[in-house]
This record gives sequence, C-alpha cells and structure tokens, in this order.
Amino acid sequence: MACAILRRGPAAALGLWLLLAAAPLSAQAPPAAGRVKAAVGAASIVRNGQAVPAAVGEVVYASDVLRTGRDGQLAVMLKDESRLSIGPDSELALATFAYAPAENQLALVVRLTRGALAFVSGRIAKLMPESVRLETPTSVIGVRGTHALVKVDAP
Amino acid sequence: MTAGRCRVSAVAALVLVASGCAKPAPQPVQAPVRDRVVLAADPETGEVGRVTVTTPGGQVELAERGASTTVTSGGAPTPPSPMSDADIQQLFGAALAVQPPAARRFELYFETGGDTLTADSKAQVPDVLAAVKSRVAPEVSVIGHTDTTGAAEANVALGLRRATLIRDLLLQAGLDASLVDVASHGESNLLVQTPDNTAEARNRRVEVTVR
Repeated sequence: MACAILRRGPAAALGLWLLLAAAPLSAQAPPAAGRVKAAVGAASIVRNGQAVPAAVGEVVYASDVLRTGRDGQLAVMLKDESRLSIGPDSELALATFAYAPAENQLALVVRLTRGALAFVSGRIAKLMPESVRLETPTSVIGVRGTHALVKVDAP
Repeated sequence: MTAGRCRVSAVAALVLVASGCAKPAPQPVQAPVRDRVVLAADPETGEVGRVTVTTPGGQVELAERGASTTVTSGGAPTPPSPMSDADIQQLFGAALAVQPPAARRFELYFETGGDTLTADSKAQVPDVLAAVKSRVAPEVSVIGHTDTTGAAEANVALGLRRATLIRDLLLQAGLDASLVDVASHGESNLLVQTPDNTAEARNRRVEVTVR
C-alpha cells in the first residue's frame, strides 16, 4: 500500500485532496455544482464525512463523494452540462468544480476510486478542454470530447 | 521530532524501497489495481472525441469509437484495442442505463428595442415548456442578449428584461423559482458579429438551456 502511494508520487495531490475535502467545513456553503438525476438502490452522497441517501433532485456540491452499493446506480448532471453516472459498488469524488465562464473560472476534476463511470463532457470541456480531468488511483484521463467510460477494479 | 525517530523513519523508508518499490515484485500478494478506459461515441450526436490516459509509466491516446486501454498498477497503459459492445455493456451497462439525457438549448428571438417575442419564437415557447416538463429534476438557465443598437448599459438592462419575461413564463408553467437562473449578457455576446449601433434580429435573443 505504502509502495503504491510512493509510486503514484503525489503526496502533494493527497494534500490537495484533503484540503479540498475539508474546504466546505470552514467556507460558506459552496455554490451548487449540479443535481442528482437518477438514484437506484443503495446510492448516497458523502458530504463532510457523512453519508446521506441520494434522492433525485438532490443538490450536489464540489467535494461531494457519490457512492453506490451492490445494487446501486447514481447519475448527476452538472451546471456545465457534464453528465456523470456510476454503476454498482462505485465511488466517485467531485474533487473540483468551477463554472464561471464570465470570470474564466473553469475546472472539473472527478476521481473514481472504484467501480464504473460513464462521463459525457459539457461546456467546460468545450471552452477549456485541458481543465477537465478524470482521475483514478493509477491514471489521469484527459477528455477532449465527449464520452468516456472508466472502470476501476480496487485491489 | 528526535534524531532517533528520524533515523528510524529513514531506515523504514529504505526498507520500503528495498523491499519492492525499486523493482516490482514478480508475484504481488494483492491483485494490482486495474483501470479500463474506453472511448465511446457521444450518446446523442454519435461523434467520437479523444481521450488520453496517463500514468507514471506512459501515455496512450484513444481516438476511435470503442478504443480501450488497460492500466495495471504502476504500469503503462496498454496500446489501444477495441472493446466489444458486449464487454462495454457488461462493464458499464448499469452506469449507461441511468445516464441523463443531454441538455437542450433554445434560442428565442425578440422584436427590436423591447421584450416582445417574435411570432415564430412565441410559437416555440410551448416546446421549451414541454422540454422542461419532460425532464427529471429540471434546471433552466435563461440568458438575455441584445443587438448593438443603443448604449451598452441600457442593453444589459434590456437583456435582463427579455430573460425575465421568459423566466416568468417558466414560473407560470409551474417551475420552482430556485431552479431558474437568469442573466443578461447585453450586447457583449453577439451571435452575429456587427459594428456598434446595428440592428440585427439574430442578436436579439434569449438563450434557454434546459438541463
């Protein structure tokens, strides 16, 4: 395990992750990043370490984690029209989301730690393709249009 | 931290490096983490984009429909190879089954100088409302635009009036106000580039995006 982390290299990335994950605790409520469009079976949103059941229409914020159990499916549409949907036994962190085209603030980073993700890119990828990134424990995936599928088999 | 502890962690790090990080063990105790990445066609347009997969061991680009790569922990992504539709369905069927439909965009046009919809656009309003109602948990963004006739500041206000008119139609149709974002770009985001003080029907519009 320690080896895997060393090989991945990013102690810095881990630090950043912790920082992003902790941000909502100290900051004001962040702007909504999107909404749940589908929730089937065991599906929850983990926010500030607490899991709440994901229901259709639920607001999703940057730094939220989407999690499904064995029979779960969960889908989210983000403000920039990006679409994220995950299958059973999946965990996806919405690590970074910024969508303010007028201020040129555009960023989308999602991190799949296990399970299956179907991703369709939205406006951010059109306006600034290099600022859209999917991450797994081993890979960084750049999406320049539009539809990517990612599966992570956790050890 | 004491010097003694420092030495201990340095030794621990050395042992870690010596025990496996320097050269991968031939038979890892745990199965390595494996990623599979597939480039699929856009669900609505059928267009195929491009995806790059990068690991510390290398980078691979996927540029064809169904092209896939596999990543083993610490290794380079494998060269692209096609994944069958059956395999895609097996791995991603559940995720694809709940994929939300793409956002829909409408452009509604206005008579010059005010917030009166053109006859054609007025006839299109029911389509917009139907698109909203057909969706699960809909959200709508409404952005008003003007042509370059008149002062820029006045046009920001005019764009907002136009957007507000459309928002009110959505609210009358039963949409919750918290689900509608209204903004005005005035004359700063022209659909058709023109000089200043130019009447241009295609610039007098409200852009409605239904998510």
